[in-house]
Amino acid sequence: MFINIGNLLLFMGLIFSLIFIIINILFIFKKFKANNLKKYQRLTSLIPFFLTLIASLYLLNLFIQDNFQSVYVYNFSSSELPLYYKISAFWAGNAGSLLFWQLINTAIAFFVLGISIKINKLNYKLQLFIGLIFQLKILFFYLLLLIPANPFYFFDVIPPEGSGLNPMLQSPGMIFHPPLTFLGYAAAFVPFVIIIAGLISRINIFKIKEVFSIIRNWTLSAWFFLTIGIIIGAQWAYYELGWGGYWSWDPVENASLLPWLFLTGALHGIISFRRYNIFKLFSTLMIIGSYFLTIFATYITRSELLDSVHAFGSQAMGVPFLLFIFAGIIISLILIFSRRKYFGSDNKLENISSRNGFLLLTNITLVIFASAVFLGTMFPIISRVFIEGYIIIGQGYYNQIAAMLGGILIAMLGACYFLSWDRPTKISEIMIKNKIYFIFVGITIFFYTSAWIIWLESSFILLFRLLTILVIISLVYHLIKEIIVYWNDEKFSGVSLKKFILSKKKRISIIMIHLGIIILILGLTGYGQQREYLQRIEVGEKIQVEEYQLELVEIEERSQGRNTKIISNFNLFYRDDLKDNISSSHLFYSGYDDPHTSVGVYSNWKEDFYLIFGDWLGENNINIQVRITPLVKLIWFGSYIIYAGFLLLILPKNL
Amino acid sequence: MMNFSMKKKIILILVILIVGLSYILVTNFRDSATYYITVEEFIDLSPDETRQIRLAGILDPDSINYNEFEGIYTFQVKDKDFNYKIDCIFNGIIPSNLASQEEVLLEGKMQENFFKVNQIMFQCPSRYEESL
Repeated sequence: MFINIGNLLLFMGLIFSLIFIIINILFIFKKFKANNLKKYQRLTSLIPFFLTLIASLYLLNLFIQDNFQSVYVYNFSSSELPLYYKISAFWAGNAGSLLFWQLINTAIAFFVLGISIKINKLNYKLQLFIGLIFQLKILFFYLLLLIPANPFYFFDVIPPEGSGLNPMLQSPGMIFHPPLTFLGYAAAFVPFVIIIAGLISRINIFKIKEVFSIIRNWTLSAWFFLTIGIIIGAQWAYYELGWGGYWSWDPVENASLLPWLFLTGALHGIISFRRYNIFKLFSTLMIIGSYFLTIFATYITRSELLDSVHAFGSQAMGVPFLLFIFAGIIISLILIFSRRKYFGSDNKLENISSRNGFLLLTNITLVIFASAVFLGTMFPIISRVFIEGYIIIGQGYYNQIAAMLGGILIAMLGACYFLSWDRPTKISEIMIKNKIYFIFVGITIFFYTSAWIIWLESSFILLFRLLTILVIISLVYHLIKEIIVYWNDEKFSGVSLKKFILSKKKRISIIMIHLGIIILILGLTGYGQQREYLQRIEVGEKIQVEEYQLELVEIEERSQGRNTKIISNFNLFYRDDLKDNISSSHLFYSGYDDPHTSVGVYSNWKEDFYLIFGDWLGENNINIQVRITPLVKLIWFGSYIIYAGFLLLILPKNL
Repeated sequence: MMNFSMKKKIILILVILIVGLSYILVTNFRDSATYYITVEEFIDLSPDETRQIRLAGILDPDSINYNEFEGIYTFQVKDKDFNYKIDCIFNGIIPSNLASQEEVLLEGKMQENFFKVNQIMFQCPSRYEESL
């Protein structure tokens, strides 16, 4: 059954966006009065948003009502599912997640074209083209939703029960990770559309200051949503069995890292552009690149290009996406080339050993990083051209590249805060000005290397870790310096702390975000020292794992509705001190043969003790796997600092 | 856009980065390159194959066996038409939702008549499973 309210709404959306595109073109050819544009744009961005919203609510209602006649609801839900998972099952599949994405697209379009005051003040022609490209994108998504990925198919007969949501997706991660990632991807479209609209309409946006404040804000939002999306995804993976770690350089993960790297580069390029009118071409390429990489990521996630051996683009989604990427990149490059005079500048980068110079090097490193990850991810396809069979690049390659380029990036970040923006700075000058920091550096290196000698461990990880620690100290030093300098400033005498922080919030929050990232990376270094143990254990038995003792207290069976849960409860001791009770369980969902395993984790600042309930071997006998990974807590701690920094950044100044 | 010595400096840095990176690429290639093959292709390999292999096949859930003394699992993977089967040994915890996965990915090496598995993987749930 194809004809229903949902498809009717999608079809109306499709027709309307077609009409709007035609009207937009008529505006371009001056068939309508220019001063009607604002009213028109508000209306044409509201209608698709409204229609998509109703269609989404309709699908949501199908989920809540357990309407299993709907093929999509049947595939991803069942009547026993808690309400919040019924809601999150909305984006569990291809079609539903695409509808959700369209909802975000139209919402952003309405915000940009209908509400945003900043954009409404822009040049008429620029607005016209921004509207046109938005409508084209909305049209493209309506086409996808109606033909290859339709969420509104219905069975002729009503199945009594849905087939249920994959147990792995029944996790809080499912509620937050996909929407945030989609938000990030959708937001990355706005800077792209503004730049392309500028190039098409022959308006040199580099000369309009407001444009780049809009571009910067949307790039920052996209970056931030993608950052949280990726981190929550990693957290989700960590607490789900079968995944083991938080990051495994899987093609889908790599595909989300690529736009993140480009967005990071774009943000840093925009800084130098706004301050010194340099890096125009570079920032433009990074913004355009990050948008196409979000499309690439979508393509990797929704096609079987890279995982299954002999399934090449067998899915209908693959072809339109690939065509879209190729056509888009070629059109963008032609546009850039034909408007090349916009990219010239009177200002030059004068010295490489300045902040601007380091930002350029940072961005080049980010591009190289992204290229290396892209090469590794696509290697199975590339190798296919030259040899029989596929070659997959394993984690070793990525880890080495991440360590080398990550090290370079971190070192440059550490140095950046000591450099002047555009003038060369002498090292001796820096050292004299920042004596306190360098004394700290000396002390840290001394203690660190002495400890190192005692550990008798020489490895790249420890050297890398030293670097991150020095940069963390440097960032904290700058944070404190910032506070002290301005605290002593007369302007701030008698001013409350709240007022002070608000007036300095941009600088403080940006140092915080960088600090959070470096702490997160410090946490990642622990992965290189992960230890893994396999053990067999009986009820009442106490086993030794490194300096921990693990006692299996009991194995209990609990029924939860139609599901059964088998829980193994442990006492965990560290050097004979009882630290925690941890448990790992198997949950048998009705309708699924295999249990869903949840892991037990004991976490402290030094390391994580990660316990997985393996197999049931006999009556009171199970086998378990233990992973001890240093510094995992720092990863999550670092991410909270990033979030806090971002919250501070978007806080209104006159609170 | 920039003066000449600046360009030189940047190019020098770029060259160093790219050379370093290519070095990593080449040295890591043997260690991290894995040959991705199916069960049918595995059967054709010679027994003294030393490359790291990722094998895609269908796991026979009834064949999973745990050897308590050695602490290892043995199981079989088959091809789509169930014409061939390969004996595998694995020292580790079998992911609990493995048996219901249609296709599994096994990473490991050939060892005498067995395929010695180091890692068991399956498609991640973020990949949308419906076929369109």
